[in-house]
Amino acid sequence: MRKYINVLILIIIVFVSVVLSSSIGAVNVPFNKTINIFLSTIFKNINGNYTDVQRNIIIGIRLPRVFLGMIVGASLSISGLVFQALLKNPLADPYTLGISAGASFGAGIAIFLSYVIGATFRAFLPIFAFFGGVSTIFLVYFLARVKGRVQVLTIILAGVVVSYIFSSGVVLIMSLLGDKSHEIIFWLMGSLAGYHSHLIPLSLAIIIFMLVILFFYRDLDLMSLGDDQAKSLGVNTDFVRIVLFSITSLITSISVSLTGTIGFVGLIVPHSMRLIFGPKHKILIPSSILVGASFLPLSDCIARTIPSLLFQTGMEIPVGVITSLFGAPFFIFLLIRGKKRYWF
Amino acid sequence: MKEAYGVKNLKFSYNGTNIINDISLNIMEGEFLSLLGPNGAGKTTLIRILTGVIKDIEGEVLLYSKPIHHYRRREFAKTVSFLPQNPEVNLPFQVRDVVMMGRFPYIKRFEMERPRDIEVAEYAMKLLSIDHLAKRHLKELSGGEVKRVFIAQAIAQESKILFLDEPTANLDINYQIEIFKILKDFNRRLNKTIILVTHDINHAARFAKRIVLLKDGMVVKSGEPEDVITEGNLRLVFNTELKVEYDSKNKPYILI
Repeated sequence: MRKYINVLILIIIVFVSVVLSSSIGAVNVPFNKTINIFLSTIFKNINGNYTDVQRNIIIGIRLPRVFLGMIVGASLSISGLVFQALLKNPLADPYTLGISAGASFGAGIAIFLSYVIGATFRAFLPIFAFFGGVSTIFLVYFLARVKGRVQVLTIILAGVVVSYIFSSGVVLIMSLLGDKSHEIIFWLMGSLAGYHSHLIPLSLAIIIFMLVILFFYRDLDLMSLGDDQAKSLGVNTDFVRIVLFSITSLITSISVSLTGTIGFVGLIVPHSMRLIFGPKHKILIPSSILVGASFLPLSDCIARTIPSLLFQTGMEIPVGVITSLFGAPFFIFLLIRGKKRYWF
Repeated sequence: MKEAYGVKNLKFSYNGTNIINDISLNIMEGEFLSLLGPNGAGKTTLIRILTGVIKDIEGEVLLYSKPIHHYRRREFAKTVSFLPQNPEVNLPFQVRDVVMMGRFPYIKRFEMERPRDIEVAEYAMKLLSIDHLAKRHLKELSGGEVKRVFIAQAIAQESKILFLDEPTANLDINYQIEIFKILKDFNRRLNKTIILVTHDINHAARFAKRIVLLKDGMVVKSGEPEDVITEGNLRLVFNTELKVEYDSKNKPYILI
């Protein structure tokens, strides 16, 4: 019974974060109006009581951005969770494994080519980023493969090394571009702004992948007891590792290609969930997805509104700054409070 | 009596070092077998091979007349369970969850656990008298309790063969005796085949029906405790003088 209440609470959190982050912005829409707009858009028989401008702001401008935040937040969280469980390493996330750096390098090349050869390359930026991310993780995986076995420690080391290589690649491109490098800087800091023509099919793909991960919750529990133990209990550890590794790499590469690199989500969300719910992946997987889907839109909402509140400018702070700024202290708080139950 | 394991000309090397040098061994169903030998004799490696953890071997390992690499993981887990020396205990899993993990091979990927799975897990906990600990976290338990939890997990796995690597290492003497009594009971009443690695010659001699003495990846001697535990054999294997005495049931024991 308690776990159903937990899931219910998490769903309410997601709902509240969607309403909050859709309502607040340069133009504030009252919360009840926002809910009214959502309901009357979904159910045609509910009468709407709002202006067309309000509806356009909520449905046309903010909702796509909130939706993007939800998808990317959920992706980064679940990827962090799975990487940490598979590698038995608390530091494993899209960053430390080099996926973010690889994707950034891909994006950097696209931006560079758009200046050197032709502007058409800008349209291919997400594709470059995607392949940058995917190829990095496979490079890391095969670097860490010694005599057919993937060493858990080596893979993090390989990730960090490959990360450095690609980061220097990005810096090289930036120095070649000179004062035109602001685009890459913007990308490196991550942003939910911008229009993505393939958001719906890509999100669908991500959601399907997440559903697949859900069916591996028992395997992940057993693998946290160690490989020998998991194998003798009947887990096909090699199969599970290759399937989940590929899926999470795809998910992160897609989301990094959409928003640039957004740090900390893949660490903070899964670890917080572990502290709250314990080690069972049956609850960790859905809770990480739901909390990730709330955390990023809310962070983005803060990133959009803080500058105008404090400095009366229309400027935006990169969302990655907010996730780290708010994420790190919260993380420390949880760490101190829940030290006894913390399992890494 | 059926043959559980048939090992023939088994060899295994790691990084160019031979760890298992040509071992042939038959293990019958219902045996209580203890592997004995000094550090580096290959006891743990042999167990890891027989439980399918290590795969790149030379020679033949048959489990119920079928090569072990022909088994699917789940099918294998229904036949063989393995309690490693130091199972991971730093996770706040509840005792109940850990025992339930033993049911993994019986639950299909897209299914939930069924009433029978819960029944078996509860039975296993009762059998090891840890049912009162069901909701406690693993890391709050004593060493002896942890061992019992993992033995319960192996029982829930309902395998015919149970491997244990140093089941009594780091335990107080009362727990050591208790664990061995539990194992002996399973062996006798449920006809489980039990194969374990131990350092303790006296425990092996008192509880095992057969002792396999290993040195340098080879079987030095295999047989009933009174035939294997002799001063000559122990000198050969451990390179040290040990005095062997016999108790009232004619079981050998060593004096240190």
